[in-house]
Amino acid sequence: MATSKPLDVIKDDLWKNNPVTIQILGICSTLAVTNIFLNTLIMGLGLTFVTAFSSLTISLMRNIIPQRVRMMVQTLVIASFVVIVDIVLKAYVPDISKALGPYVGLIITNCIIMGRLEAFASSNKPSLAFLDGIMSGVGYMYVLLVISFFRELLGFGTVLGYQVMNPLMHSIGVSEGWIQWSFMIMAPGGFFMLALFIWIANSISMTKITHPQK
Amino acid sequence: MKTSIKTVSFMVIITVIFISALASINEITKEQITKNMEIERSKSILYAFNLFPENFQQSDMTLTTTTSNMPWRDEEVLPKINTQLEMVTVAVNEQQQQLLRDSYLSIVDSVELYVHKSDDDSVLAFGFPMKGKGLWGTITAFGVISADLKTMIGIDFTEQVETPGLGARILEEEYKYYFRNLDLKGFHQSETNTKPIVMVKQKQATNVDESTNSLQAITGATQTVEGVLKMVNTDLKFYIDVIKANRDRLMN
Repeated sequence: MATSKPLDVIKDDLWKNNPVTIQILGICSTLAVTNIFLNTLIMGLGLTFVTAFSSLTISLMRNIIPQRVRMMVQTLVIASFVVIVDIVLKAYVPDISKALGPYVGLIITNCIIMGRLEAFASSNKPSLAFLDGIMSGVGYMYVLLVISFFRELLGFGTVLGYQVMNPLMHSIGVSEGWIQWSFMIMAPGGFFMLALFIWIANSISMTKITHPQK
Repeated sequence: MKTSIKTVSFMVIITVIFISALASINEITKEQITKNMEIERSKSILYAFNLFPENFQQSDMTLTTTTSNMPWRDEEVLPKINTQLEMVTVAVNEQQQQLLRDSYLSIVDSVELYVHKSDDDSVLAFGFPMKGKGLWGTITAFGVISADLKTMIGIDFTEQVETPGLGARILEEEYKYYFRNLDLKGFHQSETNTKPIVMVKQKQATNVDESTNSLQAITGATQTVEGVLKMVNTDLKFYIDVIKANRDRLMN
C-alpha cells in the first residue's frame, strides 16, 4: 500500500515517485504530443481528469468489487472516462482533438492510471484516492509541459502559438530572425528533451540522497 | 457456483450503468460533433481548391501545418463553400464503373463533383472525393484538378488512421504541397506500362517550381504513401474519364 497522508501523496506523485521521471510510465504520449504546448496541456488535463475520477470511482466501489474481476472493472472505468474526454474534445475543441489523434484513446493504455488504481485507489479512502489521481496527473502533466515549452520554443519559435523568438532575434540584431530547429518538432527532439529532463531531475534527487551519507 | 453468478451479475450491472452514461453523453454531443466534422471536411475541400482564409496565403504555411491549423473562422467556412463551389451530379456509365473495380470507391450510378468557377463564370477546377488503403485502414481524400484536366490543383486527406509521426504526416503541408501543380498528362496518353503518377525518394524541386508527375515519399511510411499513390492513380483515372464524358455539361 502506498503512503496514506495527503502531503506524502502530493510529494510522492510530484517528485519522489514521479510517474514519468522515476517510474518511466506514459512515455509514448510524452514523446508524441509534446511538440505543441497547448496540445500537451489538453492531453495533461485529460489524463488528470481520467486518473482522478477513475481513482475516485474505484475507491468508492473497492469494497463491493469481486477480487477476481477487479482489473476488468478498472479497465471498464478507465475506458469510460477516456471516452468521455474523447467525446468532449471532439464536440468542443475539435482542432485539438484532431491534433491529438489516437493519443486520447490511448490514455486507456497509459500505465499511470492502471498503476494508481491497482496500487492506491483500491485500498485507500475516496478523498485520498481522488487526491492521488489528481497529483499523479499533475506529476505527469508538468513534466510534459516543461518539455513541450522548450520543443515549441526552439522548434517553432513560439510560446502558446505567439511568435517570440523572431522579435527577440531582431532586437539583438539578427536580421534573418529565428531559424527553426525542425529536429525539436519531430519525435527525436522529444527523446532528447525527455532524457535531459530525467537526467536533471534524477541528478537533483541523487544529490539529496547522497549528501547526508558523506 | 453462487459466487460465479454474483460476479457475472456484478459485471453485467456495472457495464450497463457505464454504457448508459456514455450513450447519454454521446446523444447530447452528437449534433455538435457532426457539425464539427462537416466544417472540418469543408476546410479540407477549400484547401484542396487552393482557397484560403482572408489575409492568409500558401506562403504562411510551415512544413508541419495541417488544415486544422489554418486560421479559418467556423462561421466563414460553409458560406465560402456555398459561394465559391457548385455541386454537380453526373452519371457513371458501365464502362466507367469498370474503372472502379480497382478503387476503394463504391461502384455507383452517379458521382458528385464540386466545380469551381471564376467571377466571369468560366470553370477553373473540378473536385471530388477519393478513397484508398493505408497501412492501418482506409484513407479518404479530396482531390482537385484543373479545368483542362492536365494538372492537379491540390489534395487534402479527410480521414486516415495512420501512425502519428510517420504515416499521419500525409496531413502535413510538406507532403501535400507536392500535389500542387502535379503533371497529369500521363492520364491522357494511350496505354503505357508506366503509372501516370510515380513516387520518388529524393525530389529535387516541388511541382510548383518544376511541374513533374512525381510525388515525394515519406521515410518510415512506405505503405501509407504507396497506398496514397495507388489511390491517386486509380481514382484520378476514373474521374478524368467521367469529366471528359460529361465535359459539355460541366463547362456550362
